[in-house]
Amino acid sequence: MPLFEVHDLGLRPFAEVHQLQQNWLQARIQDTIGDRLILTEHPPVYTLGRKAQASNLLDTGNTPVLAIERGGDVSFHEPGQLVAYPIFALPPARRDIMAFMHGLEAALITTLAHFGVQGERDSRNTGVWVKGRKIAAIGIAVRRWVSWHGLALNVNNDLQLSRGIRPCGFDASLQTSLQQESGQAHSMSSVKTRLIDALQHWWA
Amino acid sequence: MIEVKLPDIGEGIAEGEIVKWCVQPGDTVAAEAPLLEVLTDKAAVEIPAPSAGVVHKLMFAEGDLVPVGQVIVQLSAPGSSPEPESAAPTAETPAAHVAVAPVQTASGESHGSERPPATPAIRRAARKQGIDLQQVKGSGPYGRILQRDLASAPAAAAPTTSPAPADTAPAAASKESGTANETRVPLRGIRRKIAEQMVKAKFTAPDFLYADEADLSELVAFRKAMAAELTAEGIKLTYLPFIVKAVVSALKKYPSLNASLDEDSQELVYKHDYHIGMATASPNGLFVPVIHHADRKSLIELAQEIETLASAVREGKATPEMLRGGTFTITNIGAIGGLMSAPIINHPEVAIMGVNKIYQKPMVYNDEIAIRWACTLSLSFDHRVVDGSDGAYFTSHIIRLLQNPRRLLLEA
Repeated sequence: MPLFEVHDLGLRPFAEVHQLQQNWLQARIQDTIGDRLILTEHPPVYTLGRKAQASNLLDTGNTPVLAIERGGDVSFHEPGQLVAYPIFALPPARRDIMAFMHGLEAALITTLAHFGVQGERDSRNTGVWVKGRKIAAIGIAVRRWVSWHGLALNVNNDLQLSRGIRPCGFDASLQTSLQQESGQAHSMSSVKTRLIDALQHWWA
Repeated sequence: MIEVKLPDIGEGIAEGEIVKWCVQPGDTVAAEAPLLEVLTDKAAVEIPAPSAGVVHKLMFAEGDLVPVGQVIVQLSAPGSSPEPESAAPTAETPAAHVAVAPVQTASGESHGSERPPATPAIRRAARKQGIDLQQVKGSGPYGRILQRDLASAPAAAAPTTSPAPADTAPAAASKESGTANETRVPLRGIRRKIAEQMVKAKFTAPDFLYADEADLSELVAFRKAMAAELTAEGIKLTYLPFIVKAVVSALKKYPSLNASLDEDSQELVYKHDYHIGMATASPNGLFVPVIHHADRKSLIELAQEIETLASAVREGKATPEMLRGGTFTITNIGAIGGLMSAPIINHPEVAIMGVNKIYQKPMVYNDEIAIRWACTLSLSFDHRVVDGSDGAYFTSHIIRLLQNPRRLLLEA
């Protein structure tokens, strides 16, 4: 039996996947399904986490802004950014939110290493950083010890959307992507494969 | 009575912020039903009811920081129906509400209690969409109007409603938002950070205040002459670059003021860098951007950097790098006024200099009474690290340089 089912949805609207997450979250709480990992990309959208400060929205133009349940401040999604939502039930021995987020960070760092990029953790600011710039954001929610929401890794996106906000309260110039750091574009599927491997290794 | 405590939700997590109550006193809850949502940095965690019951009392309000292990809600056994107590905990929980004066904006605009609570960005968005905030019911804490409330307002065009249905119900503990005579604003974000920082500084360092007067007449004349010339080049020359320069010279001479105390290792840490913080007011609160390596910069370079940092802070565009690493702070309150001030040390630094107003008054000059430009410099320092005499010598050194700008230029 696999550790978790992977559902690769491709490019899908945020609201649609958000609804799917809620359905699966409910099902996972009731134990009618096992752990699932959603992989997707979203058309341009801004999201406000539970800690979002309105002052971090600068000029969002016509892009939709959605308030959602995850922790964290303002964030953005755009095509070329890989989004992963682990809907995992945390067994009693693993009910540690910090450890869970560290696991996600470690999986991202392993993934980046395959492409020659050295990601780092910052003890004060959750997420993955490359030389002081943020390459991946993490914001989760936990209901009845089942996780939802998750992580967003900038792969080939041009970070255009980040300029309308202060992502997680930081200046948009502090954002970076795998393409920018490695100097070349990478196929989304190769990044997905590496990320799935790393997450499986961690969750096992 | 079942007392539900905030569970340990992770290694190193000592407290959580209550972001949302999902229940109100009097509600009957099933076992495992969500009671409240707690936030830690990047994770929002729902805390479920340990067993079925009737909610008797909420011990904290939304926005409160609650230590792990603290009782957060009381449940009575189902069937028994005690009188539910009022939702808003007031006198019983002293830590629950911290009243803060409404934040004064830099422009001096005051927030009258008749204005519905909302952030500037929300007000801007409302104006843009032609929504009258008086007509909008705020669903945030203390009735604050949030983005999602705008979406459901009459004149709103774009449907940007939150997908979470539970969010639309105003939470019980947030209803009371003060009376006509006062406005209560939850202590959050930057305001809370400022509050924590000030308390820490004040209760950690035994501070010694030393103040002395400088005759700045020559500096006033020199700056005036140079400012005219530099304005043509687009450079704004204030007094601050001169003060920074004098401070750096004094720090080199009295290194105990460019230091910190490592309490864990019980070591005095003398800094080799001269990173000078400058306290700066902004619409979002007090920030201290840092001029890094101030000792390596000319007066003109300092003037330009001060301008860059100050406008970044005012526009809310300061990066974490701009705010990090200070070794000594200057607070230039004199731009507003004041004969004297007793600044609070920017912990873990050990000293801060307040520059008060520069004004004309009669002084004894060359054995006669003359109208001169006076300014009081006030130095607060951590007396654990800095001796009173060093603080006094340090201030005298700065005054000597500022009184004689030609000498100050030689220090550059």
